[in-house]
Amino acid sequence: MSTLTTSRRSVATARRVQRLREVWAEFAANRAGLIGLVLLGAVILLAFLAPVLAPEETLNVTRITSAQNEPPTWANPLGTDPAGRSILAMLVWGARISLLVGFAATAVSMLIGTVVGMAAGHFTGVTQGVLMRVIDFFLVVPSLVLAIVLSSVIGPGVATIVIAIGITSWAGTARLVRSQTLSVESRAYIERSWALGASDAHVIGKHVLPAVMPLVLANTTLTVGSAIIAESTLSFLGMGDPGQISWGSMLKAALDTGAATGGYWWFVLTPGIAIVLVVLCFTLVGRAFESVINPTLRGR
Amino acid sequence: MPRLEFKDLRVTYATQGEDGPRTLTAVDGVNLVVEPGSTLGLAGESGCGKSTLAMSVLRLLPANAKVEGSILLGGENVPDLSWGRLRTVRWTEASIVFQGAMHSLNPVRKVREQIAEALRIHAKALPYKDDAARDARVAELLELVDLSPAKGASYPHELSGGQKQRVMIAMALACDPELIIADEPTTALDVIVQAQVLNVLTALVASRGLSLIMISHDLSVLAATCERIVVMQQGKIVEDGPSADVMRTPQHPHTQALAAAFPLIGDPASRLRLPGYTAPDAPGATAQEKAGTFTAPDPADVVLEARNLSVTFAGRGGNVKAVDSVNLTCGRGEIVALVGQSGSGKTTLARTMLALQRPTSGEVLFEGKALSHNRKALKDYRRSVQFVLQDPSAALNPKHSVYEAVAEGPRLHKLPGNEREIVTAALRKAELNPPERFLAAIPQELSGGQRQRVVIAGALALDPEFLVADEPVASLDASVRAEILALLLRLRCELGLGALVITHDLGLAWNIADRVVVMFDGRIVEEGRVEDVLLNPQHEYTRKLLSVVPTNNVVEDDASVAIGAGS
Repeated sequence: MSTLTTSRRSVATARRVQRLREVWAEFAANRAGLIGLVLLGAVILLAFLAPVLAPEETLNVTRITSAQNEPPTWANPLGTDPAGRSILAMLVWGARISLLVGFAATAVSMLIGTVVGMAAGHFTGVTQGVLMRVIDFFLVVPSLVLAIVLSSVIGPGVATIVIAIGITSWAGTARLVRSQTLSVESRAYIERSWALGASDAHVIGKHVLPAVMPLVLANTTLTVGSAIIAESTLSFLGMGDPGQISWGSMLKAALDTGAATGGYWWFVLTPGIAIVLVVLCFTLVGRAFESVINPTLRGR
Repeated sequence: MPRLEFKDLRVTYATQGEDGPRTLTAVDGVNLVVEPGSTLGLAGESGCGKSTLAMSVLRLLPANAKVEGSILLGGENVPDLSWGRLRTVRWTEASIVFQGAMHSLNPVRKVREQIAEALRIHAKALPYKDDAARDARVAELLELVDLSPAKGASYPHELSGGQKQRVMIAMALACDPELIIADEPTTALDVIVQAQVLNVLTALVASRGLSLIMISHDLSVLAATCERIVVMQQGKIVEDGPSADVMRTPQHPHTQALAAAFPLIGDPASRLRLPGYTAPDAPGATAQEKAGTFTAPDPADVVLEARNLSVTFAGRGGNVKAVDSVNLTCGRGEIVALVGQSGSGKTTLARTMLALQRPTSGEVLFEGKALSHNRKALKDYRRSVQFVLQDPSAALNPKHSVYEAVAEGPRLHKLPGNEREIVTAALRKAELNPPERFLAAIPQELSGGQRQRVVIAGALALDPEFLVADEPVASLDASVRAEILALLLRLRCELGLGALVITHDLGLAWNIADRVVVMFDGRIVEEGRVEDVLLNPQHEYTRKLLSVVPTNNVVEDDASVAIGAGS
């Protein structure tokens, strides 16, 4: 029995590996997506290596040797901020928070969106009605205002931002997942499953979830980008942890210290360009992934 | 000069295979002559190249097709025509009635405008230069196909399937072509509508002296409309002859398989007998075929019963009674055929019997006990009564292997024993031999017939008492149809597994069923033993259904005279 089970497993594994290879080959054929993926990998690597590249004491204001608001030099390639810290080091450290919040908030949003979306598509009657009204509420509520209210209730910090972004951005995903659920559930194999005696959990777990998963994954990469922008916005508005550097809080510092009007362009532009670049990378990867999953989008 | 002549025609498609580009030969050296005023039927299974052959006449093939040889349409070689000349030829000399009228009409334009489109394009050559002349011509065309000219103002969704197909025929006739190619014109239609459409086509061909090429996988449809039948297999013509001869004395084994798939109702040679399997209780079964431990089903031993069952749907403008006070019993080991045209409520009845749909009133009884809708009882019931769906390609999750699809039921019910043994045993019962070869396959790697066997194996894995099959062969090719029906018959005889088979095909009932139940407008209008109902129908609707079975309209022997008395 055990050998037979293993052989069956290995056949399934072999097919999965084969399928992954095909997905990779199709993804790699999209040059823009590949460039996005490489840049993204580099940014993530830099964020991981931040303690090595720019040891924490370089950001300690008490031990700084550089002048304030120094323009780019060889010692500080991107100049210094109004406290004399190297902007390059801040950028690398900021990437950690921005990416962390981006991924964590997206995970929260995807989890809520997928569960609520599948439930709203699977169940009928009152359950569906209530779920749909909840989704509608979160679609129309101004998410920024809600996030500000939430963070002022919970208190500023990284976790607050993650929660605030997560629970304000899942409604679109839920709608998407619901429509995919509806289309999957109209297939005959769901009917067959019911006739075999399936429970709700079986139909959702065995048939619906695997069918909506690729869609959710493609949507995830697109959502990470907007979560990073949302994080910057909230940090810029002062909802972040004041003790930690993120790209949004760098922009806030630039505004507070009058860097833009003072002509210290290096402090304003660099975090802005970093945000644009990372969001663009996520979008490129997401679009490429989407066209792998949905072949009708190819060549458009 | 022949109207159309194919000379050594070869059509190949360049496709992208798993290991680089491949070429696929769809039509392989076809020589065929169509004389003016003659009707030709082109038969064959899906993928045999019949549609490619037809589309090549108007150069409507996709860009990856390569055509060799010549197609002479009224003396001109189609592959050599200039683009301008080709546009003129299209529709004025030859036109096509496309398959699936539902999808070939533009949903946002009135059908009148769509018929006039061809007239407008060919306005230079034809006398329909102004709107008034065109309107008159459209009205004339609609009358030709038995539609009132007022229907021209309808949008496609306001017309029934048969009406849409007739609009397609009117479109094909618009520019008075000499040749009409009808590609599966009746495939998606039910029997009664199919008969109407075929009547319109034959009458037009006869009165206007047109040449007609009709494509179908159903030999009996062709035999009822065409003088001559050509059978294709794998891109080659394997048989060519007058319809009656091809139907009655097919020469090539492939034609024999196609002809045998549509039995003549009343013919004892096809009663409970299919190519490949004969039931022990078939009339005239040999001693060898009778061998085995078969006990005839006992009608008193009722497994599944519907009592005064009604299902009502809330629709626009009042409620629709899909099933109306139906009483139905199915005995153990008995095959009951539920026949009726589309919209008669037969699928709703089946879904209600499977507890996939709640009845509005009345009840379903299983082994004498009324079915409760609580979760636990329902799950037990579903172990005993299994479902075989219409389209096997849709009934299997494309991501699940055969093993997973068959094991789904046993896992849900936590059947004791070795799962792998249960699965292989079920596959073996469904005649997928050797089962090991199929375990890891995914549905797209299987043929249509094999997929349907996997669905049946999935049902058998639960060791059910009874099967409910909704049009189990409607979406399969003719030869596969016979195999699947033989399998159902074998399960009945060898395992004593009864089935309620829903179908619009009376030949199927004649092939395998013990009893037949005729449904019309949500009610059961006639039921009884197959021989009684089909050979001596009492209700007017049953007679009407029998009169439109194409098989009975071509072969004139005693049996069909006896039953063709209706209409």
